[in-house]
Amino acid sequence: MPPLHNLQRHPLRKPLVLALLLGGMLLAACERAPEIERRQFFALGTLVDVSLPASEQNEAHFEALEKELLQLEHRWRAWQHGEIADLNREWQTAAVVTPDAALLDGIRQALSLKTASLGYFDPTIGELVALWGFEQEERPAVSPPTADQLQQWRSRHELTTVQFDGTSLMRDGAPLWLDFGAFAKGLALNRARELLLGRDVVSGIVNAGGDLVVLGDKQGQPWRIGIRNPRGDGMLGSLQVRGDIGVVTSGDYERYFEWQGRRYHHVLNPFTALPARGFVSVTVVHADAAVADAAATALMAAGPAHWREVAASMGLDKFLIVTEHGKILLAATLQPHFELLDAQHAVEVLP
Amino acid sequence: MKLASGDVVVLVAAAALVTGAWFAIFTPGVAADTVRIQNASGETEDYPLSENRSIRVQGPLGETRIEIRDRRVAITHSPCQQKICLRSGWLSAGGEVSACVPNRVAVTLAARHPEFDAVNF
Repeated sequence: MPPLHNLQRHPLRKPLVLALLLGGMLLAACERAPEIERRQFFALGTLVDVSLPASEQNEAHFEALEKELLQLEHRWRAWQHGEIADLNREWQTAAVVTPDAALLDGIRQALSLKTASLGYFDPTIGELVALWGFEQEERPAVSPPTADQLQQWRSRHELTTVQFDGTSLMRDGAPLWLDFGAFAKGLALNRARELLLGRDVVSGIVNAGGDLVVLGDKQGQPWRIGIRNPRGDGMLGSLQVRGDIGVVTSGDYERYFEWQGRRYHHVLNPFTALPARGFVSVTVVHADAAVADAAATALMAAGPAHWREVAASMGLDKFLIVTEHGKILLAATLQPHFELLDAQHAVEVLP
Repeated sequence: MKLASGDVVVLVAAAALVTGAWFAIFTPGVAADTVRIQNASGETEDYPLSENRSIRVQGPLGETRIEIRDRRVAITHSPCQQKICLRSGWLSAGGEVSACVPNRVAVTLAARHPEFDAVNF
């Protein structure tokens, strides 16, 4: 048999050429992973991390996004300087306030999510948030509120209702303070997605401090989203997602303070007025990032005793819950998209 | 069948070509190799993840300290009150980010083809 490198006369010439052709066609059919350009800026009270496939227009997209998200931050900020903060101050003395149409629309959506979540997501608990000191970016080291203070707040809160009359917002009962901390980021992510789609960007990710929206896919492949381990370093798992969808997590591990050896986190149960118990984190995947945002908080606040009612009432079918014992409760519809990376966690798939 | 020395050369070259093409095209997630640090002015600086070092970055509140150790990176000291940035712990996967919002410092683990396109938390 002649040597392989003497192909002219080699009996394996035809099979070799065929194999090379076939391999070449296969490789040509595969698309190279796109180069992704990332830009980071501070907005919405967090670090916003934008990933877009390389394009000469990206600089303009990044600038437009930053401008828009900074405007939305000012609009929805409930404390210090912001439009909601101004509205809140006005509402302390006036029973009727008249926000502009866009603000009213958002408030209306948030209040309907309060109803859908059976009250576990509640944008009217600003006063409680302040009692715990979580309204401040830099919480001073002071004691948690007393049981008396929390009881007094609960009594006032139970008697206060909010109503609309088309253009105005009316409260009946004690003054209250709106806080859209568990909603405004989702709303802003929706707006970021609309802005990009309006600029003909159909692929990318906008990640605002861990809560994100994805657009389209990564050149035919799903985006791979790591879910950070809520206890310890590294990743708990990953989600493969595509399409215009929001992924939002609420957890007990980032915003908290310790007082006399006890930890108090910022996800408050509106019925007990205390930090929620039982779950470490809740991740919700939903087409509407504002719904995902409110739902993640609602399930976290509802805890092991009530989360099923809340999920059913909100029509949630894609979520992942990490319990305080480290078990993962995974919605069946999310299972095909989820990969467990930390084998220390047991996974229970929910029907 | 006995292979001539030229055959070996052809086979080795073919194997290298196929392996190289596979990696170039399928581009599986690879380990992060670069730490990118952004300061309050939006300026960025890159450091290799393979070299242990301490980095100090000035922000509006003071000095944020970042450590690169054993192919991981963490914010280890921050002048902010709540220390949320310290709670991110050690980052090791491409695509992970840690930030001190009050001091306007961001740390990103970059890779040409990161394991994760984004990290949710």
